[in-house]
Amino acid sequence: MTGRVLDVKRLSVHDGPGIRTTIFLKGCPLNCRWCHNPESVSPEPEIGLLKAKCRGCGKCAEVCPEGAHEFRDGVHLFHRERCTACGRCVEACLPGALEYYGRELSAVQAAAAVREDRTFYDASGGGCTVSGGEPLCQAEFCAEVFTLLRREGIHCAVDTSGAVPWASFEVVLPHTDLFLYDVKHTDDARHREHTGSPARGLLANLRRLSECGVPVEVRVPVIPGFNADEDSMAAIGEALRGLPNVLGARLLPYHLARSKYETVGRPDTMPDVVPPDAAVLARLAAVLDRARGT
Amino acid sequence: MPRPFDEARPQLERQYLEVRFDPASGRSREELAAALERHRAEHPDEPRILTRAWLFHLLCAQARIAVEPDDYYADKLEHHDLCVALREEWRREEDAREFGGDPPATPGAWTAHLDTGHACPDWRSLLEHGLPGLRDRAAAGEGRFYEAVALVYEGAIILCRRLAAALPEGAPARPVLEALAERPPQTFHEALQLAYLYHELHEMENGYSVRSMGRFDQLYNRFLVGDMQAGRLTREQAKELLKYFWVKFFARTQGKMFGKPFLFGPEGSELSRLAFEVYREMHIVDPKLHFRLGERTPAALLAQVVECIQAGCTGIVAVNDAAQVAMLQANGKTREDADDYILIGCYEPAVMGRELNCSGACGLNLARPVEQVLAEGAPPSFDDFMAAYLGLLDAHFTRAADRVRREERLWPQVAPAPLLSGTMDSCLAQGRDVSEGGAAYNTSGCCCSGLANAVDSLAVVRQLVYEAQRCSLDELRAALAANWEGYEELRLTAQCRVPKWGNNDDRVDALAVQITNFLGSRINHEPNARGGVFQAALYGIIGTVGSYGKQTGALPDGRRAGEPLTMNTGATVGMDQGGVTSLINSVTKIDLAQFPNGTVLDVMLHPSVAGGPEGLATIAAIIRSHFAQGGLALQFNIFDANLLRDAREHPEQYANLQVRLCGWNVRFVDLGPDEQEMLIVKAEVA
Repeated sequence: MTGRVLDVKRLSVHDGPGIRTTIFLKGCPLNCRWCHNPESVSPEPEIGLLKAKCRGCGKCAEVCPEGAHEFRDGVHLFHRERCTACGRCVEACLPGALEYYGRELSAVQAAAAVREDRTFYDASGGGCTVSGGEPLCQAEFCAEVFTLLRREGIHCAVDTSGAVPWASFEVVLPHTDLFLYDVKHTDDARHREHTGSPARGLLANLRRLSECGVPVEVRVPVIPGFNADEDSMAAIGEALRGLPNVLGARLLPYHLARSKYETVGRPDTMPDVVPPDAAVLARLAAVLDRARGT
Repeated sequence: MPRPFDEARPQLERQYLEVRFDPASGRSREELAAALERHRAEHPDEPRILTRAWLFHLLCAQARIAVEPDDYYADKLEHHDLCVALREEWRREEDAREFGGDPPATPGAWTAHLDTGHACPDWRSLLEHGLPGLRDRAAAGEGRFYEAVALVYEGAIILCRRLAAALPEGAPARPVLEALAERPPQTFHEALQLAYLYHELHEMENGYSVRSMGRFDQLYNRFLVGDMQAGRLTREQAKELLKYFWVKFFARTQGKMFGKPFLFGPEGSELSRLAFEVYREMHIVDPKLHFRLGERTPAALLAQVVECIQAGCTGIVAVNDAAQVAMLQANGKTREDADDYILIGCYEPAVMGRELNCSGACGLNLARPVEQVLAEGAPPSFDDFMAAYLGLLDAHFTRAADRVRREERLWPQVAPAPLLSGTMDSCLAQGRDVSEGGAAYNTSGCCCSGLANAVDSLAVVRQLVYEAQRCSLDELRAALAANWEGYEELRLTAQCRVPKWGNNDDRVDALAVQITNFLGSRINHEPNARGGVFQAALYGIIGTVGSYGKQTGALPDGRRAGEPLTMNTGATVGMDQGGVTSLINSVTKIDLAQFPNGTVLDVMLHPSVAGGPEGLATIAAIIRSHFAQGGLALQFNIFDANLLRDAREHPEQYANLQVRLCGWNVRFVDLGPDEQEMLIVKAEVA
């Protein structure tokens, strides 16, 4: 069994308790306008170009069978529509200006990569988190990785948007120690406008998950112009009120990801948004907690 | 009365820059030098230890002094480094006779010298006996050694009296110095005054020394607690005393001080808590604090230390207590002595007051032999290449050790040290100076530098020449001879397509294990000339990697000729793409206990990882993880590359920004452009 992996990030301290290794899987059913991992959205492999690292040597153009790389007046043009993600250009690019997103990794390989930092999990109460993208789009892969890790007592968490059929939760539930669950908004229309899907199904999955006995930590991305207001937060808090097994609800402030959009050749969908400051976050956190009844 | 420290700080930090010595207080340099010449002419056959002691006494009794009535301490003596000048005269004389006919050594391959600067007096004995006690103890013996010791301590007592007399009635240092001339210290204030005065006198005897300042929170706690229980001192007053004391270490070199660490832990005391509080408030680059972390360390104290690290006090080194004690025992120290270790200089363990570890006696450049094998031969296989490489390391150490032994035999004629020896029980018991092997343990260090360059270069040779046959040895040799000019593609391939040290890659890391196992078995237990043995160290401080680098040509790892080698045990800058956990996993594959002369790992963290309350837990967990895997010592830099860039552009706004480079803790704005750039690149990777 293999998974389509975007990245394996070590010394990860924001994806669950302690020091963790986070496996980012590729592909997400949502299309959030603020997404700070735009390279994770498409389920297909793709190639990123980090222009700052390109030295203009032209090796990529030489090896590309599709003519996707072109140098015109010293400018590197990447014709993505021709790219089949065969990866030859990435192999040829010595300075590392081209990156491959979505390599296939077996569950055994993924678990081995996580196992390397075992000492750090033990010392910090950490473990492994599978994130994305939407990890539950590859629920069988998650379950297999977790099975291997939990055999050795490594704590396993899923970081999900919930935008998957309930059946996907059932695949990972027996193997998961903690769910990190994104809640973005409660209003269907607003949610659809900004993510491509209504909120309803995601919230229903959360309610059902909270009944399963596995701890859940809710995370709310704070996006100016979308939910960074007291009404939205109060509504989210209401939706969480009384749910069992929900350990807490934490705000994640929006941050800029412009260079990443350039890397994957997509326009930044929120170019003018200013990240919320600490005072706003504190106020919204208070509103959220009050509405949750904590 | 002294002003509050914060108010007086600007002047205190400049106190050694322009000291006004009163001409009426003593004799001029010319007069002192002439007196020395007369003495030597009148005593042509005097043993050198006595001549040195006589000069020491002369300076204490007759050189000019300066005092500051508003300081808690007095310590300024205009000795013109005459003791050091005399030593250097003897050194030149002896060196010319002994080494004049030696064939030239391979440049940049090894170093060896007489290391008198790494030492730790027996602070416990100094505090217990005081200056008069040490004088009297020596005066009871017979022979030139005892005579010399008694003479220097008599000099120190005279100096106390002179400094006291120069101070007006009511100056806080006056009664303290008067007391120290008569008896051992009884108060916190007296103990700190004695420690600093001894520091200055040791400096006068031996020149700049990177000694350890001892187990501070253990040795000085009884004075602090005694004062507070007797109602003589409030906690706030104690903090002021410590600030006025510590600021002198900064003021001495303006924040560019090597060595001289204060040791804390593992149990901690009231003084540990007070000291780390003071250290954080001062936010000062010197002195440096080493912290023995073990099972006996209270959680609250560890938390306080970690908060200091997080707050950017980069002068702290976390030390794995259990591993250090076990290592010292494995290297011939008794359990009791091993438990009383301190770290001298940067990170070099030694038994406090009982061991002269001469930790910088010799060194090996681990990268240079790679260049030599490439230049000299064409080994048919990588195993042959490796054998040739280790053969050269062996030959270099043989020569370095031989040179050290010859230097050590000259020591009694070059640098007898009665002040230092006078603190040590074993010297007193045997009537032997430290230069004659009078310490209980007499070890000599061999510091191995440039591990990352050696490992990465060997990995490149193995993969590109012998395995993938990407290039021939001749082609690689030509590329290096051209300093990679015209071979950019090959250089990038070497840099970017061959796994490197520090990424938890088993195959590459095995090379490091092979090299370090060889070093441990070859260096440790080799006899020196003082009745002790050599001990290996694994680190490269900035001066060493810089000077080795200048003498090392281009290397297969992509490094260009003349560039500094990689510091300490870590990965080459920019090569540790796997991050801190992988770096630690790589480094701890080495059996670090094979380096009883010390080793350290530098960790660079981004503030997003190390900040906030969770960051405290992360830092502590990284320390524990490193130690659980056998790491011996760890030091941190916590930076955002953008902040460092801004500090480079606007140094005036970042006077307080500290960084850790090897055993050197320094203000970022004091670094040269190359060192600043290196740190920025490191921070970017983090």
